[in-house]
Amino acid sequence: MRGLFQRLGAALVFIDFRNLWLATALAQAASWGLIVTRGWLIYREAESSFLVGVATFAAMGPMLIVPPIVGVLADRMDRRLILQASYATEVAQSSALLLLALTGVLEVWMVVVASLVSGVARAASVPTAQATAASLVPPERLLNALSLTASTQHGSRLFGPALVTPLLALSGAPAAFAVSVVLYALALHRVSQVTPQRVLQTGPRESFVANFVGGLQYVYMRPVLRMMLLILVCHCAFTMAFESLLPSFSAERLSAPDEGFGSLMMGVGAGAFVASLGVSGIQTERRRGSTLILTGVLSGLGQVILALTTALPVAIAAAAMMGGAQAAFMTIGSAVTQSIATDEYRGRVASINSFSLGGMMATMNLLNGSIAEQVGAQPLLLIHGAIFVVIVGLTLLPATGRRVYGRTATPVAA
Amino acid sequence: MAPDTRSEAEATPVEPVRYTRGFVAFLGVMVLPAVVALGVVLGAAAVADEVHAAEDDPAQDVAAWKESLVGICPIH
Repeated sequence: MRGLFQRLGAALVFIDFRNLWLATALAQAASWGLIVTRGWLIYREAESSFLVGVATFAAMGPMLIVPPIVGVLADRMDRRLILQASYATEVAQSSALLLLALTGVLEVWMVVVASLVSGVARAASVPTAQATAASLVPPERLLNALSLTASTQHGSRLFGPALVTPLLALSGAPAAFAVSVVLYALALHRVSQVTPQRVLQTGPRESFVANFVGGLQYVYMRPVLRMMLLILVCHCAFTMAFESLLPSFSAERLSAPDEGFGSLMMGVGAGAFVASLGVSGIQTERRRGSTLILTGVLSGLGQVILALTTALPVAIAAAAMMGGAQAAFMTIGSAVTQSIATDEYRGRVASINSFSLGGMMATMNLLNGSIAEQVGAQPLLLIHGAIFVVIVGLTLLPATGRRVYGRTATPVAA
Repeated sequence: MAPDTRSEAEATPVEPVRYTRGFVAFLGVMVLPAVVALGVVLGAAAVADEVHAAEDDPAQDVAAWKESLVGICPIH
């Protein structure tokens, strides 16, 4: 058992990474706790699902704008400083919410503004933390490091809300805001223990746009990196944009309009947590590649099984398989991209990951939602899942694709 | 020819940006989805009041594309 823990947590022996991981875990838990608290508060005050949606979009929307800017900054300045600034902003906005709630002057628009501020800080910290992790551990521990970070991210979706929900019921929003303040303050303290991460700059300074496009050109010029990112984009388009389909799928196909959606999402979350922890034990490039193929196929197949079933328990199991395979596939994909990129481009590569993949998921969710109204959710889940299985098969044909999956002798990692 | 044993990071030197057809297509795939998603949400926000007013009062006329935009956007 001890050996298993040592293998799963191999990257934690590096003190800087351990501090970064703890900071990320604390901040993610605080963030999910805040999302629940804000939603609860807005719904109680305004009784409006629309306003809850606006606040959630304000928190998530910056993921489509901020990463390109932060990616360039993360390749120009001390990455620890960006993380400190992000967490300090989170401490400030959650402290402001706490004070306003305690004094009884908190209004819904203030919560929406705080959501936006928090969204910007989160959109800055997530890609920066990913780029920083890659420079804190040796290449052979990178997958382990990113898997631990990913499993923390999925675990925090359970842990953060679990922490604040009883407090909301017992003493209202101020206690839940106080928990977020403490968690963010601890995250700030932890990240301040990480050694400063200055990037060695080569070449002339350019504008933000030129720098970001330069990052895209860097990716484009590297066939394995380009192929990996394109596969990840396809994965997001065909298998990860399912949130807008599941409510109508639960109602129409599973005849479970009330409990179906929540149960499926819990299945996805539980599968993601277990799988992202599971892949942290992978140590060799070949095994990493084999797992990438397997999880790619299972990601599409899980969606196909989900589409074909009408029984809720089978659907939950398929959702867990789908969530687990998706999380493992994305974690390994990030590890491949970060292991190929040199340090001076890691910030931009991480930001391209967040920006392009988030953008594709958002667009496909919008499209799926409106197409499902015409044809139903079931055929979309079925066809999209099958398409991705075919894509995985097709990408194994060219030599570059086989290199992505570790199927050649030529090393991929820098 | 001996196999290339260099890592991918070292294999291709950094060059000035050249807007070849392939690069522009790649740029489109990576950037356009985020721009479209933002455009839909911001566009829907801009016309939502007009569309909702037309829903409440059938006498008011509203362009079909505005209705579609608000229909697609999940938060409007």
